[in-house]
Amino acid sequence: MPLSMSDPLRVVEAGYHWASDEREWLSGIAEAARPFAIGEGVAAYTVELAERAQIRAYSGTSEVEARARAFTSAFDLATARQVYAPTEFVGNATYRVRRLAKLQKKSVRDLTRGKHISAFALVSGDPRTQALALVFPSEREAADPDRAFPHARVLGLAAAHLSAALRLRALAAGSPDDADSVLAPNGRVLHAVGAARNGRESLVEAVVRRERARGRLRRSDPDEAARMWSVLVAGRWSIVDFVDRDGKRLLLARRNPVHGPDVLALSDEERDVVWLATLGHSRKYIAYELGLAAATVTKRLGSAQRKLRVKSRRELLRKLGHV
Amino acid sequence: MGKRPPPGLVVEHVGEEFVVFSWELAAPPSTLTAAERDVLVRVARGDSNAAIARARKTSVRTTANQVASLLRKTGAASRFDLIRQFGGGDAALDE
Repeated sequence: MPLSMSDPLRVVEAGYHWASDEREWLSGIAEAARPFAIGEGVAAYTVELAERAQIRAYSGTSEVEARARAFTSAFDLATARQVYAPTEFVGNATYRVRRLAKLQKKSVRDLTRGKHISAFALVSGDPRTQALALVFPSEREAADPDRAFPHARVLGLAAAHLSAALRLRALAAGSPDDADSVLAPNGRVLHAVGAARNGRESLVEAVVRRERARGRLRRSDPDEAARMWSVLVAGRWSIVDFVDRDGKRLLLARRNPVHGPDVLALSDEERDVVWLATLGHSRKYIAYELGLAAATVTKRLGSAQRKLRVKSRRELLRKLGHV
Repeated sequence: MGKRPPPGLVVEHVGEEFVVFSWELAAPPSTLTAAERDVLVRVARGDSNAAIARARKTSVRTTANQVASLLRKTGAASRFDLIRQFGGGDAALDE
């Protein structure tokens, strides 16, 4: 089945979906990434990179799990941080390990202690503390990872968001005994004790609850708030999550990465047009396909270019185009 | 989302990367009829007049009139202003 623009977005959405259980969260991401699988399924796991490298939570088959655990704990911490350094594309594990071995002037066998894993992986996270690996086991080998894994760049669009989602989870996670209620400025209880544990909480609520409790939210003055709003509307921030509760709307947004396209900044309409354009269709064909006037297609492509900060249609296609 | 920020907008920064926008959604005025309230919920989650008319089994003209009186009674400048003021609700995401 051909991929569509919504496939990498589903992976992003699964990343921002709030599940207090990490395994459940990972299985959502793996499920969303299934359209990208190359025959042997998908596994998703988080790696702890603080004191020593080890897999913290895992979702996938037990066979791949055993291999991934042995592979991960074969490295010393410094090397593991390089193995699990985040990238914006889907890389070949063999390729990466071979490069690291060359840098350290060791053989691949010495570096991995024979615990090699043959897979393509999208690695997100923070190299100093934790990583999220989305793994596609495969025996396929190639020097150029972009060529060997179909749609590597499309899936790569999700990378920065998965890193952000991992950081948000760290912000939102708390020990069970500090699930305090949060009081709105007018004294209304936004969160009763224990409400956070029932699983219906959204990511934005979890983040706000924790950060308010820690006193780490910095509030903008009204002028700055208005400016932030216009920046949000202009698409320079991505809306990560929003929720309406108790007559109040909470909306969590993320600053778009300076480099790299941010597909979440696009509206659904712009996304449809951009997607058809990346498939190489003409303006007239896109208009026909979507039931729009050709001028509307031009307009939407234009606003997508502005939001993704590219100057020409050609640059847009190069940024989003897939191999 | 309109270009003007919603009244009472609060912007809070979570580190360098994230921002939380929050604002009180307005309560609809008490002068609304039951039908208008129902239409308001649907408009506020982004339904078109045609979709609302289908769901409520009325004519599109009736719905358009109800939206017009909603705009008059709430003082909203536009349909999008209604969405901004009265919220989209989770229902908009579930569908």
